[in-house]
Amino acid sequence: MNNKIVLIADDEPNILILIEQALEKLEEDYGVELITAKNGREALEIIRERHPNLVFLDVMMPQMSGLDVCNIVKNQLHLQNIYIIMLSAKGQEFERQSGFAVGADLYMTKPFLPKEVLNKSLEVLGL
Amino acid sequence: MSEIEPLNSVSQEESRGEKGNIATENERECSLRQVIDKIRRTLNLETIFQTTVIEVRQLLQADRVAVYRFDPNSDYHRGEIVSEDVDANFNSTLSVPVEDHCFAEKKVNYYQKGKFWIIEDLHQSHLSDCYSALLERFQVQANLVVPLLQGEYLWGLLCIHQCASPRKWQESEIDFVSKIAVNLGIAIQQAELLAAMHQRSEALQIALSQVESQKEHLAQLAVRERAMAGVIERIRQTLDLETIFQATTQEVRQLLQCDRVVVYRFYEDYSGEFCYESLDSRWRPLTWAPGLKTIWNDTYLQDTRGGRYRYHETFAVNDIYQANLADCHIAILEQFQVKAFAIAPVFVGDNLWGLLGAYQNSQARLWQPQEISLLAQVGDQLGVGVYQAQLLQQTKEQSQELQATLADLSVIIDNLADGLLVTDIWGQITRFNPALLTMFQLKGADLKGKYIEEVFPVSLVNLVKTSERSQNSLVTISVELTGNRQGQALVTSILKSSQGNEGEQCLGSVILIRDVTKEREIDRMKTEFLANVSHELRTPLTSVLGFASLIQERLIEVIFPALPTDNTKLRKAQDKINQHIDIIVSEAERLTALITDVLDIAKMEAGQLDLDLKPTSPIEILQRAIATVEPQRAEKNLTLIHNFEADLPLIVADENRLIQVVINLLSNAIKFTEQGTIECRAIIQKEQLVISVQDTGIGIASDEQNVIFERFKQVGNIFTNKPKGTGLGLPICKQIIECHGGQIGVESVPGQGSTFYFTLPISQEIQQMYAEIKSFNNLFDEIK
Repeated sequence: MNNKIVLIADDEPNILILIEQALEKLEEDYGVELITAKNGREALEIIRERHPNLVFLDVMMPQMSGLDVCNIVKNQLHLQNIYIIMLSAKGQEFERQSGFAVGADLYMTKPFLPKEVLNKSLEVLGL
Repeated sequence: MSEIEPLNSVSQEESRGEKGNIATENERECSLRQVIDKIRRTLNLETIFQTTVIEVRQLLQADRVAVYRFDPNSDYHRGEIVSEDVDANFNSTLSVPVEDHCFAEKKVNYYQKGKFWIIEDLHQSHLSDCYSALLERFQVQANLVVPLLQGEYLWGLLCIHQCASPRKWQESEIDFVSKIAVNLGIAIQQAELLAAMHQRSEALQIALSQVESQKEHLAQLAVRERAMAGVIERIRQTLDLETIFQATTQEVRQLLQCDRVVVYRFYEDYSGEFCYESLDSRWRPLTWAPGLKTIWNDTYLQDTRGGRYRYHETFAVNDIYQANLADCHIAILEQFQVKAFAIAPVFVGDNLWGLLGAYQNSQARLWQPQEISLLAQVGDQLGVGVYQAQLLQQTKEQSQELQATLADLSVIIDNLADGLLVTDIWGQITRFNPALLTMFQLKGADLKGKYIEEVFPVSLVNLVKTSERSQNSLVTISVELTGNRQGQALVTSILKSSQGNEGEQCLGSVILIRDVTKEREIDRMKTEFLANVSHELRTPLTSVLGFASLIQERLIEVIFPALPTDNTKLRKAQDKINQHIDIIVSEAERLTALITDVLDIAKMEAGQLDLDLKPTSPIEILQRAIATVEPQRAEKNLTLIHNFEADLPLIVADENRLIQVVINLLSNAIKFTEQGTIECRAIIQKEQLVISVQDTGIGIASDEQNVIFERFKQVGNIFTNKPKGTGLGLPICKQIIECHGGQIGVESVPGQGSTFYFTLPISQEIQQMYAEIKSFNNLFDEIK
């Protein structure tokens, strides 16, 4: 059984809970494994070890920013099959640009609705 | 009649009778020649007559020979002996007037025909009484009278009288006398001619002398004219009042040869002062020094506001004691040592400015009319001179004032903290200040006359050009200053409203540059702060929004179905919970929008709006915006009309931002319109794309039309007519459009609706392409 893995990385515990709750259906209905990380470094380690199918990366995180993590994953580790969704509270154009520049697949601005997160995840995971 | 016989017949008969006496005849011939010679030697009638009468009496041995002359005005009724030689024994008849009426009636004709009157013995001839009385008066016994004819005119008679005895006149004697008479006649004629000539020459002399005197008069006039011209010339040579007064008084005193000439100036109340004089050193001065002048409060002139002088009259008094002057007047004149005076008014324009006075102090004086007129003329000229001098003074004062103002302005400009740059319409620099030089590190450079593009960055040059294109409005832009500093440039066109109906004329541009480095830094910090705040707000909002919707989801999917359905209270509570969570979600969304807008406007105002400029199709933008507001429109059941010009060119723009603008305008139109239509138009006008949204809504009052583009303003009373939104929509639209180089505005009639429009420039390349495509399309249509 090759279960799919989704990583959620954010330094805000409430956001972690929110996204986890939003994706509860994935876990229950499709056996998708949900992993959380509280900072960039932790997120990068998990990505290296577990190769998740989908990563939600907050841009502003302590120790290592989401952008740096994305850059390493996409441009150093060349893990192109990992779908990365950047999460930002700023939503400014230049951030969006820099997100795409480091290879992010999608850029989501906070606040977002749980339904959007779920629908996008289902689509990305092909479920 | 019988006593008068024709000369010829008598003389012929008698000459025949006396043939024997040849020697005497020869002598007589000789004497005759002598007498005639004497007659001819002179032209003086008196001498001629005198010579003749003496010679003839001597030769004829007669008692009296006389020349009788008719009074030419008496028609031969009167006359007198004008020359006579008479024997001492007889009476002189010289100058005795003779009234002879018989003669006039009877004898004139005979004499006129050259006949003689010969009487040999008065007592034997039967003369009428009037004759005999006359002849007896002259003691005449024998008489030989021959006419003195001047041409055909009977001038007088040559009378030979024998008084002592009767005498028989010899033919030779008669012949002799007749010849003498003929010669006398000639002499008389000549003398008369001479007299006439004399007379004529005298008349000529008189005429000549008249001409001479006229010439002299003219010469005098010319001298006066010249003198006058001299005075005028001296008045005109200078515009300095002092010099004018000096020249005038001096010249006039010299011309009129008087003792004192003054310029008297009226004050406002028609009193006045002697402000200048020229005077003979014998007399007391009336003006001692500038500021120390004699004031003469002539109450008469004060009361009459200048009296006769108001009416351009002059006033001349030959003798102050003979002119019925008031005693007080005389007293003052005496004080001024005046005996005679002549005054002419001086007018400056239409106002009686003062007087020009000539005084004779030594004695009374008979003023000549030409002297008075000269004074009056000089008075007139003085007025002109004063007028011009005053004008010059005024001009000088004005120019001094202007100089002062200009110096003031220059100092202000030089000390402005802002950089100032003024260019003419060709972009040539006409003015600048030190602050500007400092900003661009150009210290010491002279920019005057240089073209703006030689010295300043392209952005500034373009700004000036933009300002000239869009006159009336202020245009601002950021410019890089040296030393990594930031400047804000503001350009205004210098507009001069012309006299005619041509409207305004652009003279150039004024560029003010302010160093805004500090302000920019503060702005940047503000924006950063706002961005951080926004970030901090978004994260909890995400939780609120997210968990609220998760709760709703769980309630609907898990909790509510598990509740008993027959409890009405429970069902109602479920509905309420649903409703309330909806409110939480929508309010959280509104809060999100507000945060986004605040962040946007802060960034825009700090000049940090990042535009993603790309060639974009306006139609696509419009259609995407219209699609977005479609649910809103459908909800209100309004009609939305599209009216887009065909073949609109591409524009260089940030697609998403422009969509944001159009959505804003459309959703506003829908929001404020209850029924009717909304029309969205896109046209090309004056090389610009103009997009407009017209509604039939509540409209906007004119005093509010400008306010709505300002931050946090919304039209209408927020309590009675509470609109939804942040109030930042239009200010953001304005920022976006201005960042694209366009303009946004509104035209509205309250109660009828509003038209919001914005313009976007079309780049020249695209314009050209557009024109080519259009002409190609036209061609294509034609071919079709």
